[in-house]
Amino acid sequence: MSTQQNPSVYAQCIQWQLEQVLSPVPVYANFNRNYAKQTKFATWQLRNVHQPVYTGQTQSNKGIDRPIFQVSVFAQDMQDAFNLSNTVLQSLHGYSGVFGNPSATGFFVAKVDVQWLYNTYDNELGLNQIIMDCTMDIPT
Amino acid sequence: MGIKRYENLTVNTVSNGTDAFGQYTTTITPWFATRGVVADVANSLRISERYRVYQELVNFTFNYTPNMKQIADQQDLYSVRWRGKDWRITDVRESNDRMRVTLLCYYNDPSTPV
Repeated sequence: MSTQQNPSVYAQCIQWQLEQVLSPVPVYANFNRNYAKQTKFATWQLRNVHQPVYTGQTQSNKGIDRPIFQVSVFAQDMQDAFNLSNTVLQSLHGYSGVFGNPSATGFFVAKVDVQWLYNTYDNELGLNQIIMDCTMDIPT
Repeated sequence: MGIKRYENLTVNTVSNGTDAFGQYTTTITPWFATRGVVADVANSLRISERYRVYQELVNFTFNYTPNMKQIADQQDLYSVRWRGKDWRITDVRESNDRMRVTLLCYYNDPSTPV
């Protein structure tokens, strides 16, 4: 028996957690042209918020939520990009505990699974980019 | 010979940050009140298939001061308030004798907070 969590809570907690992990490198939701002057930053996007629904007429008869947030780290210097991605890996891969600000909207995650997808270079921006998928297992 | 007319202007600082959701925020705070010459006010409208964008351009000319040099060096961090709108700086022209600074400023409607 579980209730669906509010995606806005997920968004705030992802932002807070990534800020803690990557500080002082700035973290933003999505991309914005303002970052043109910054040599290092990270962005994230949330997707696949979904609890499997079991049979029955009770609306709360659901499984655990497994949302995915995709983190993109950007850096002018390739080594910086790899180091930033390593910071995310070391801090979040296998993480279990309170995710997000414990004194605000933070919630418990059973585990965070980081999949380091690929590195690339954006020719228009002149920035190296590394993309990672982070899956959270959230029992509710 | 015409009389030079100075208008009241407020120079603002522009700072960027993020909110709890990681959204980009723009905060505009008054820095100092001053007077300058306003010229070449140009309001234009661009209508495309889906959008209607008012783009307004204006020139502000100020005396060259240490504050103005600071603005000339980092024009993205400042804006000018005139006629109830905040004008963001695109171009900066310093006069060759370093007596004046002209700021080319724009205002968009609908505005995009950048």
